[in-house]
Amino acid sequence: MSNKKIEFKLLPNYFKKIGLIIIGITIIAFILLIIFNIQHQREFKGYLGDFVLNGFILGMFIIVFSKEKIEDERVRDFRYKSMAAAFLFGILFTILMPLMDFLFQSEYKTLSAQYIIGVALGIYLINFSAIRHEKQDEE
Amino acid sequence: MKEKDRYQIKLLPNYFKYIDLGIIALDLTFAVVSLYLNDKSLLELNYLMLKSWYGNFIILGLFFYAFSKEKIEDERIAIVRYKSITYAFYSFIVFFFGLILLPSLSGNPDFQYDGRMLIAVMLLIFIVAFLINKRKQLIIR
Repeated sequence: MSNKKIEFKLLPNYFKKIGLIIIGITIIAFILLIIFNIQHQREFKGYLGDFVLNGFILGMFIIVFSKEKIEDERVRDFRYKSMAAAFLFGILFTILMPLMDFLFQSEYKTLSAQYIIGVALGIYLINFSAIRHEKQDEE
Repeated sequence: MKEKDRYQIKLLPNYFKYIDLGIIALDLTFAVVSLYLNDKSLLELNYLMLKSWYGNFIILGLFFYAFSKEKIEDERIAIVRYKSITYAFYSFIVFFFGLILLPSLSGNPDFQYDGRMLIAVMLLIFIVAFLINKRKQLIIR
């Protein structure tokens, strides 16, 4: 894909580490939530749950939008393909989830935007690393 | 982008663009008729889209339109498509920070934004960006 017009701003490479630290902190917070069983305390339930989820998404965002050590045209091509896959998966997920609820006769639930963003970013990261490793192996 | 690999997105045939228009038109007609039969005003259409199946069919229609082939599907169109998907993907950031993170930090913990609304907005951003970029490419040609 040799089109120089497609240039997007990305964060420097060291932001990947910051993203990983944020994800680490949220995982620890999540484990602490379970260990100390804070979930049953009503005043904390919504706020802490949201805090953990948003922190996790923020960490993934930072990793997704930070540069690789060598950011060349090939890596950019992997990015586009991964974004397309994540976008497509997010849409299919949104369309198919209510269908699953209907088929398994469970209650019609509202999908939260955080959930979809989290799933799409996860798919992006998995796809991106899969393409990169596959292409590296081919060389 | 000459090599065809399995990571490349597969597109629907071109005639899905027409199927999409049919789905959206039928969906909106049924939604408006349902409002009329239940004696509710048109202002409740938005609520109906979010809380029932009608919204899903709008997303399905937009999805068919966005991911069906153009009549001439060449490399330029593929580049325009990827570029537009990237714009839509970047809108995640605006959505996340503007409508989720900041409101939740400003003290409304139970606030949850509907995911279907997010996907519908992303699809619209993608379609608009795609049409604008395609037109630009045609002018350059």
